[in-house]
Amino acid sequence: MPSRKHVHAMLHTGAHYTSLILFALFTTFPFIWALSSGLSGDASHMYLFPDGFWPHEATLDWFARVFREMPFTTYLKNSTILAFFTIAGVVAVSVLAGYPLARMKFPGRGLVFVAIIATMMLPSEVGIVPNFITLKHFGDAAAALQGTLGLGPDWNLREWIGLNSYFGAIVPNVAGAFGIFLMKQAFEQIPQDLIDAARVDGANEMQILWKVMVPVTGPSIAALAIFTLVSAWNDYLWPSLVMNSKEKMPLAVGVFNDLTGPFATSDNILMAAIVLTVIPVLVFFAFTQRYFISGMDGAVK
Amino acid sequence: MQSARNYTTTAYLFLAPALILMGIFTFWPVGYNTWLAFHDYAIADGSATWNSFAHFKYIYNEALFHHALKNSLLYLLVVPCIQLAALVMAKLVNNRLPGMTFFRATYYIPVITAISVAGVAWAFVYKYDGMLNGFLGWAGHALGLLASPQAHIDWLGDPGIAIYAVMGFTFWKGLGYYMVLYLAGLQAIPAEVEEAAILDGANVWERFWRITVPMVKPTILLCTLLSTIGAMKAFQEVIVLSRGQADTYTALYYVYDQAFRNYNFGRAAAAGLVVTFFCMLLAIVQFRFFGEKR
Amino acid sequence: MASVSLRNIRKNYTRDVTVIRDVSLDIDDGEFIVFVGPSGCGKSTMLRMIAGLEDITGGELYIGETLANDIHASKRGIAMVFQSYALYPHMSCAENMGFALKLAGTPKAEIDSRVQRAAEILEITHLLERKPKALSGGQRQRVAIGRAIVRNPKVFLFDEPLSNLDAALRLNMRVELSKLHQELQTTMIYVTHDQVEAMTLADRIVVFHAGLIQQVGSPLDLYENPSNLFVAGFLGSPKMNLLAGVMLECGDGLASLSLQQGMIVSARCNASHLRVHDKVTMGIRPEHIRLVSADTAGALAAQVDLIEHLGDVVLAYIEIPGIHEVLCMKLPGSAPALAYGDRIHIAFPPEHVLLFDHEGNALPRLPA
Repeated sequence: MPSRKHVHAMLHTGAHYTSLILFALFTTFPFIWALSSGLSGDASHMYLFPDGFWPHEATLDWFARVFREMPFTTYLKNSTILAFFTIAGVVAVSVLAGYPLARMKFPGRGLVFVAIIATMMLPSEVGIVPNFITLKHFGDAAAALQGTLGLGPDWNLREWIGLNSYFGAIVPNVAGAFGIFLMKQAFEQIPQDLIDAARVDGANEMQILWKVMVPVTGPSIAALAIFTLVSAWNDYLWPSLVMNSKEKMPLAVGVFNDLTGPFATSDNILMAAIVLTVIPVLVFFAFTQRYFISGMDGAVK
Repeated sequence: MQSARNYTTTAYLFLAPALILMGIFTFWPVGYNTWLAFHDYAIADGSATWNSFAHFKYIYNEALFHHALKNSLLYLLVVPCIQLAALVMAKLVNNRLPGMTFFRATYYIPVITAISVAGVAWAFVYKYDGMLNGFLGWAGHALGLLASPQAHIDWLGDPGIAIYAVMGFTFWKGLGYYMVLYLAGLQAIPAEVEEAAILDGANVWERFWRITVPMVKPTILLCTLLSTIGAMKAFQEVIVLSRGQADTYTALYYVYDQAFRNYNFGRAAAAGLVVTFFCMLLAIVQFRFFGEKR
Repeated sequence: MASVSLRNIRKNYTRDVTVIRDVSLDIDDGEFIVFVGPSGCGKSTMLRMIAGLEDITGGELYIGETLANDIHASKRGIAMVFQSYALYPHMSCAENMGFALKLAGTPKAEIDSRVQRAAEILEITHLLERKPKALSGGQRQRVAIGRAIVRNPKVFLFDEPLSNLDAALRLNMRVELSKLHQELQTTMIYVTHDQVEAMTLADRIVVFHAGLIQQVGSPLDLYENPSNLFVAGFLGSPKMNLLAGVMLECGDGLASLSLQQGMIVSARCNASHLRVHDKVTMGIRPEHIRLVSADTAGALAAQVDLIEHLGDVVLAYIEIPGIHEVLCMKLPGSAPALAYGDRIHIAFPPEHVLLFDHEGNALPRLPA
């Protein structure tokens, strides 16, 4: 006969896992529901509980129709372009700025650091209107340049760096306090001896940064890249304002517009599209999730 | 040694990309926004005319802006809910039992999905004939409270309810983020402290309130600061769920609406300035709180 | 290979924070010199200034015949071994050792051959392809030394290189460093806080304290003739016993002083510049205190507080009634057994007693 203590421990563990599962259901039910609706050939059970949570007359038709009725691959391509260049920019800018802030003594260092950190307190959303106007000016300037150089209308320089350009969707997100702060913290962790050794070995500041600091802070750079990827991939507001042609929209904007716009023919196809949009992120997350936990670690301490 | 001036030049060369980009896209907007707030701006030809405090006077008297501000303050209700739930969640996954990596990842999924796409899914949940009503009907029927297995609540259409529904979405989306922050805080607590409390005879409930909560106080303060500012700035939820219908304007949604639907950039800038002011005020209050702790 | 000269070197971090006050020193070509002192005494800062990692506030540094104050660290012809090894974790040992040459644009074949030669000297050839993470502490230290050797420097700088090793390994590496110096015959400057390392390795020891050189000399000279109280107390383990007293006789001959309770001690020191009743401190090393019978002239009564058997020697901690200082005496391991509470008699042989005036400076000893 199991002892009372044993029963108590089992009850405890049972309650623990029940709570865990309830929370898990709460955070994932929209996706589970979307998945089962996307797989259902028979739509009539979709809004019934609990029937909606498993597929009826399972089929992949809705998923196939997403690709036929939506420029899904175009969106996917655009998301990839935006994410790639945002990551490259954020990592480069943050590494370059983080190093002198962490490791060099120069006049104005404290002031620069405080200025960068202070931007964390500003509501970044307030920058949207001015940035929109700035990019419009960029575009105008590019168009004027095009005129001056006498290039033909095919060049359309306006949409290289102004509104409705990849550049415009990316560039305001490149320099951020978060990345600079993260890299500064990472560089501060490196022992002074290592830098001194490199200096005695004859490395200049650029070589110290590139050949010693960057390889050594690999994990932090990876964490920064991953965070940036997720935020760039999911960014909705800014690209939705900058990009007005369907050919340049990323997933988060294009799919949303199609789902809520006149193209929305059936609820099941919408659910299938939702699932397809979320899957790349989930797969990526499954491989890198430890970075999210450990990367945050650094942010708290 | 290198000469000092050379060294300083190197440092600023490294900083240059960051400083230039932040100058254009972070610092310049602050000044430009302030300037815009006192002008009428025409997006077509980029012309601006000085109009003194007209925008401020306008929004001061406008009922819609008052509603928006009120809703933004109401939105702060989400802060304590999200903090408590996230802390409990972190506590549940902070151990070495099997499956914890899976649960941690699961709780983080809403954070890493695009707000627009998650919003569409939640719009289906909140629909009049949507999943939430389906679930409530089923539960009510099963408990004998409802005659038919169908509840009739217009989650996003009823002005008395819609803002809370939007807040529910924010709660769902942000939970995992704060869970991870709390997890980091909890992992800094040595296991011996909890074990000592068990030996002293404290039960689960007592341990949570008397050991865990006091020991993660710095994290609680940080998370509260972050989520308070986050709540004040909430508006993407509104864009994707209700588009401001049914009394769901928030302060920044008002800014967005004025700028990109009315194309009244000056008025948007003035409202944005007011919101910035409130955010800074909140940040300063909470930073003072922090400053004493450190 | 080169000599190193320091001329009135000063180092201020800010106007008020001075780490090095005024240091002048000539280090000969091929000499093994050890900077020793407690932490914060300025010895590491001095080394980093020689390396070119810290600016020199004032004074002149010559490496060989060249004024090196404004020469970049990598151009001074020095190589440095760090306490934490400071190996680049992402490079293999061979890459670590060849990094400086690679930066200088040396052809790959020459880098390889020089790395190989250094590895042979240090017997780490089999480790060359490994990453530092896969090595033990002692092996890492060898690689760090190898990195220095590869550069073929004029001067080797060591910054507490053995502090991170365990005791047995430290002893081993100490012997190897001595051998290395004999083999290479290069000038080596070595910083440590461990006086045993200083005593065993150095041709000459430089004792630092409070940003000043206290004394420079061969290990034995410093041990036997410390020039002041600080050096006397710093070198030797267990420490020299120090007791306060006042002068009784200051002539050219044997000086004598009175301890508390009127006990009288003689010293073979020249106290002619002191006057009777001046305050002094006497010092005697533990191994010089004699155990004597009660009727010996100058015998002092004492009581045993604690006995430590170290095998080869016995350390006896004793107290003289009326003097609240525990004295340590070192006796051969075969000495008659002592036990706690034993009443004994001791004597301080005058030729081993040192005297320090009220400023802490040693009085000159008289020839025997």
